[in-house]
Amino acid sequence: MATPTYTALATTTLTSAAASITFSSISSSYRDIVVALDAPSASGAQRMYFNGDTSNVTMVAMYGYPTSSTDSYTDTGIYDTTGNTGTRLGIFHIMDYSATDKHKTVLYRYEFNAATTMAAAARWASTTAITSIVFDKPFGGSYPVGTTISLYGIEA
Amino acid sequence: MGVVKLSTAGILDYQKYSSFLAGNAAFSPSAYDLLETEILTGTTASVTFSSLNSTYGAAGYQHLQMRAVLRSDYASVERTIIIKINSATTSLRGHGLYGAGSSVLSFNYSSLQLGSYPGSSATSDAFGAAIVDILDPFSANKNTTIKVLNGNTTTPWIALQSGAWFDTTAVDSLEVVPLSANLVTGTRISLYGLKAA
Repeated sequence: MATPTYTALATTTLTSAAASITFSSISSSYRDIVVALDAPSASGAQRMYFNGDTSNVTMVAMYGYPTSSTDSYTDTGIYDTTGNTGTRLGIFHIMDYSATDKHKTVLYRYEFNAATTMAAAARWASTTAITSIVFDKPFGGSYPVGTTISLYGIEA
Repeated sequence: MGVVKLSTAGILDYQKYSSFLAGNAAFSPSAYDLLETEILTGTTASVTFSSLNSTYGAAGYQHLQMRAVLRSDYASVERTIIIKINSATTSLRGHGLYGAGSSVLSFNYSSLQLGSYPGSSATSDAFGAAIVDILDPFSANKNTTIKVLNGNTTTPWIALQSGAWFDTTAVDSLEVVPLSANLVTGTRISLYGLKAA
């Protein structure tokens, strides 16, 4: 019998600006986690990390931006492309997030200020199940009022 | 003699409802369902999902989505993995846009590519991932189109890809195959169905 999927797990909508947003005690009952992020215009590059670990991450991204240019780069965190002021929209797929036999791979699509589009993959080099997810602005800035982040569980 | 009024029945603790839902939420059938999952506990040359049209097309699913974490035993840091529809090896075309960490490039192939994934020389426990959308697979008057988002940081590689099988036959099987290699333990492939309204 088919199993309904895409269960809403948690949503945070800011009523005051915040430097970070945390989701904790994440159930291990699902296969993947999908995160939908919608942030009004603000400055500060964004980062996502797991279980309090801001290290042990590799990322590769490609993006196109307003001058009709494209670029690809690697980094050591799950970041967006810029600290500039603008709106931020992202869909993050955290695959096999509760598995204890593999590192955690994230695929994401991201859009900045209706001008930059980005696709990226990241890997948290840990076989520990993900139980918390933090979004923060490590280089300064904050998430403005109205920022909404939702977590969905994809059925196992 | 039967009870005429609830109020005279001697039942003191009751709740009246004007709806047969009796205070419960209306049932909302799901349109996005997990159909099958394959998790490897050993190595295998490929993973196949079969009888898709007779099982899921007949059940009213309109689109399919495959979500996968993949790794092969190819003796290198990475290896390409492809997807086959109904075992077809012709009338296929795939193309993509990818970033390898320094520039953005494009490619095209006469196969349906799922992209680059870690091989046996890659960091232990590292897998690549893919989300594959297969649109209108059970239609008998459309060619089958797929869309892929795939990434692998051990190469590194991030790609947006699409492909088509130029055949209007309904999709009945999907096979995930690494080129000249095997899929390894821990590989997971899940198939989801999306229903039409």
